[in-house]
Amino acid sequence: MAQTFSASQDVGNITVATFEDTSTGLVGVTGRLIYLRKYDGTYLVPTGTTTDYVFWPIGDTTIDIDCLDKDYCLDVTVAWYTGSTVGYTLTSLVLFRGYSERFLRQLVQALAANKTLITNKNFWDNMVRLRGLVDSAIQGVSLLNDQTITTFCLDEAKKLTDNRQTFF
Amino acid sequence: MAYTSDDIILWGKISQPLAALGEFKRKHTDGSTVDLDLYMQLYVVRKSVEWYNSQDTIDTDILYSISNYLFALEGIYGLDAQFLDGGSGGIVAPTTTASTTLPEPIDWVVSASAATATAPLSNGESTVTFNGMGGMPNLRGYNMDFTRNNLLQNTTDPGDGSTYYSWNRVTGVFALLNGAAFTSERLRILPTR
Repeated sequence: MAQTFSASQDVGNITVATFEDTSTGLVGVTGRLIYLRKYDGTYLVPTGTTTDYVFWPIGDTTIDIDCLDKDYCLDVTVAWYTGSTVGYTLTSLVLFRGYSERFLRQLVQALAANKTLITNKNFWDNMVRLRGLVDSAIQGVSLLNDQTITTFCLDEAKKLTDNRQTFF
Repeated sequence: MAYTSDDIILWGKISQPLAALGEFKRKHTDGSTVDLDLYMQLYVVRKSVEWYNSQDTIDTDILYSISNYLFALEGIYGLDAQFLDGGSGGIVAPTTTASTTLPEPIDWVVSASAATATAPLSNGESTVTFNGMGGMPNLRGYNMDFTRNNLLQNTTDPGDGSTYYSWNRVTGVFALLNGAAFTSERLRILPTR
């Protein structure tokens, strides 16, 4: 018996976080909720949702939650209900970095179209810096399991991507 | 021949350390065209291609564009990477460096005994052919560093009467210049790429 889930984000629909329940052997489960807790302790939910959680129908293996307006490191908790009580829970730190990666890919596209850009020190230095911040965010989750550090990296990355005219 | 993005990404990974080392070495021979940032460019670009290639929804025009850019960036190191990956090494397939493992160095003290594969020059000798014949190893196709009495030797005449050497990697002829080997000298031949 194991409660597990996976998370993903695709560039084709970058605002959507997709979760898949990959649990096996859970007994008597009748309902399921998912909480996406941000670094500041508040919860990320789709527009119009009034609860802290999103209801995840037990008949659906996956759920798409349209809530990612930027990159996030989220403390994701899935609660499986057995009757009226929580029978199982699992909390895991999840990184959504699609916006930064998409921006980096756009920079590579710009480089491919204009190879002299690489000699622009401002462009190149900030591109490396952005890559470093995204890599640090990845390691902030995979090695440190630290939402604070990871969120800091993502926020710093966002400063670069929000000011393209200045930094690139 | 068309390559896949997966191929180019893999070669990008292999090219990165090759470029770091290769450009550093080239700095000492051809400083005007050296690019010490190349390894970092390969990393940053490869990571973006890798991420985009992993997505479900891909614009193939964009993927081709950035993959081709990565391939162009890999340049000669990409060809080395293909070779290491088991490929042909590009249009011209290397034939004399068919193994990815370099031959072992030959390190010996000169004596009067007859030359062998592990002590290829004897007292009074100055030439040996490493062509895989006469009991000698085949070192054709490799470059070679040669150390004589713990001093790295040049292939150009230093002009001060000291020793140097010549190496023909096509024929395999190795020659000591300005002085044949003599007993108790420490010699070392190190095949390189």
